[in-house]
Amino acid sequence: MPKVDRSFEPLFRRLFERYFCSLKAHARHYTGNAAIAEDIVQDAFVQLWELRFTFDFNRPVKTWLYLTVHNKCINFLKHQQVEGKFREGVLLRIREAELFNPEFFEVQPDLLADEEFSKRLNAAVEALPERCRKTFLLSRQSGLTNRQIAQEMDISVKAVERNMTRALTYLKEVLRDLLIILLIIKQIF
Amino acid sequence: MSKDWIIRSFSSELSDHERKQLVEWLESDPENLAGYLRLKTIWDESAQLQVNNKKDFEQSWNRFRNTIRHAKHPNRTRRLVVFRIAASVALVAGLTATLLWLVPAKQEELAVAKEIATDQSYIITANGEKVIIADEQTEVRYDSLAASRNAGIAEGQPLADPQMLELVVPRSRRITLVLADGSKVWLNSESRLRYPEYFVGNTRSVSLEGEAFFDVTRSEGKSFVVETRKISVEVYGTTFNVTAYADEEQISATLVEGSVAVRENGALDTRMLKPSQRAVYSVENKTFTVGDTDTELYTSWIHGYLKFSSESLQQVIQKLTRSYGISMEINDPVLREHKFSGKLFLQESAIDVLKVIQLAAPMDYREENGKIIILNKNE
Repeated sequence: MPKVDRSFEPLFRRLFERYFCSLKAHARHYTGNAAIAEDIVQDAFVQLWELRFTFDFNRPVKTWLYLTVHNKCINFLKHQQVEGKFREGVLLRIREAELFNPEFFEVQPDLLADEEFSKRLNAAVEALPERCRKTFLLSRQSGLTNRQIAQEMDISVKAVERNMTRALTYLKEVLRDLLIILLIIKQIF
Repeated sequence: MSKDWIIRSFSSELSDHERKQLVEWLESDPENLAGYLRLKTIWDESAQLQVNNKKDFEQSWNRFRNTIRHAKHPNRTRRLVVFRIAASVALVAGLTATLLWLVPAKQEELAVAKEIATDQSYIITANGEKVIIADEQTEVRYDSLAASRNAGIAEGQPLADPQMLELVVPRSRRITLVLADGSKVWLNSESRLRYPEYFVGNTRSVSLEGEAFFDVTRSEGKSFVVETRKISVEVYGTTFNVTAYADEEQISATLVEGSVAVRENGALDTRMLKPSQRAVYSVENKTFTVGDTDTELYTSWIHGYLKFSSESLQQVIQKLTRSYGISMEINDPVLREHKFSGKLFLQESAIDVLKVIQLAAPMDYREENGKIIILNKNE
């Protein structure tokens, strides 16, 4: 019998476009490995796919995805710890990851609904000083490491880090009102 | 704490020693953590810029798509949970409320139906060439920039007339199409949409046979018109569903958001629809009836399920026939009018769906010459 199982695909394509890269950046931050990060985010999406008929897509999907990806990162790190690899570094990574408290997800606004965020982020990136913007885009858009960017732009790694810091700090200030929600965290901790 | 460190932690480039200091700094003051999380949000969110950087992203998407396409169907017990159909209201007295649902199709329409009955979707170009849409491609997208460049906009030359294209979707398929203006169209089974490769002038006009859901991009002063064989629907940036199958006695438009006007072809009068209203045009009486409705009933198919509210088994089976591409026939007139409410999820096989219906109706079925015959169990 022919089966029709493709009708959720457009929805998942949208979710993928909206969240995949952010989630991968998140997973990469905590696992320190791009291939592992890719696997973890793929897994999370497949898990969501399996829940597609019962999942309430009116709830913030982003919260669910972040929570799932984050737990998978911690599980991965704990598994490494059990295996006794890179003991010291892994323990520190777990500590850092656990600071990313799940309460954060509860207050995190659903940025899919807030298309404004993407728009304003793009506009703010455009407004960055030339070298700052170039560094920023090589990192965030092309996914290069700081070392690769340094080579590409023929500057020192230190200079790359400075440019990145300036860019992120500037963006944080410009988008402050949209990030204000994070201040609630202060009350939680 | 230098912010450089925070950023190096995001890209996972800290030494153990540095990471220890960072973690201690974060743990020492909630203010530090809050600042760090704000920077991190920017860091994560800005990775979305990579979506524009097609190759890697598409690779990830393809991997995901392959996984889900080859995934096993959920096991039986789980299926029963997700897949409900509410019990039926028994017989409708006297059959007076019969909808003129299956009007005998005219000769030319039969020919059309035959032509669509291949199992692949395709696009007919202006010179009659058919372009088959590859199986794995469910979304057809037009690059409006490329289209306008081809048309000479970039060079400031006058516009060439756009080529008219026709997208044909057979039984058991559905396709999503993004038009040159960014409007999105979900085209249901056994449907065809004629549209220009890009829009010129003050009206964006497409014509539809069958069923489609539209999410129309607003474009100042440029209305969007869906023409069907008897009526047209005019919109200004909105989401709505149009059902205009050639073999059905009704043509309908259901509005989800925004505002649209419906008009009989050739007539001057228009009827405005408000959100959650549905206009039904009777081909026989040449009249519109407008009423409030549950839009989910008419738009659920784009999400992969069908929702019914007190519809006859005949209607339910007709929708299933389209969705699955299997001929099904009810040979008992009483059974045909059996009413149903509920949801049917289309990821199940047709037989599984029939089994669920069986829970609510006194029916049986058998396969005969590649056709499913539905019988009254009590006979």
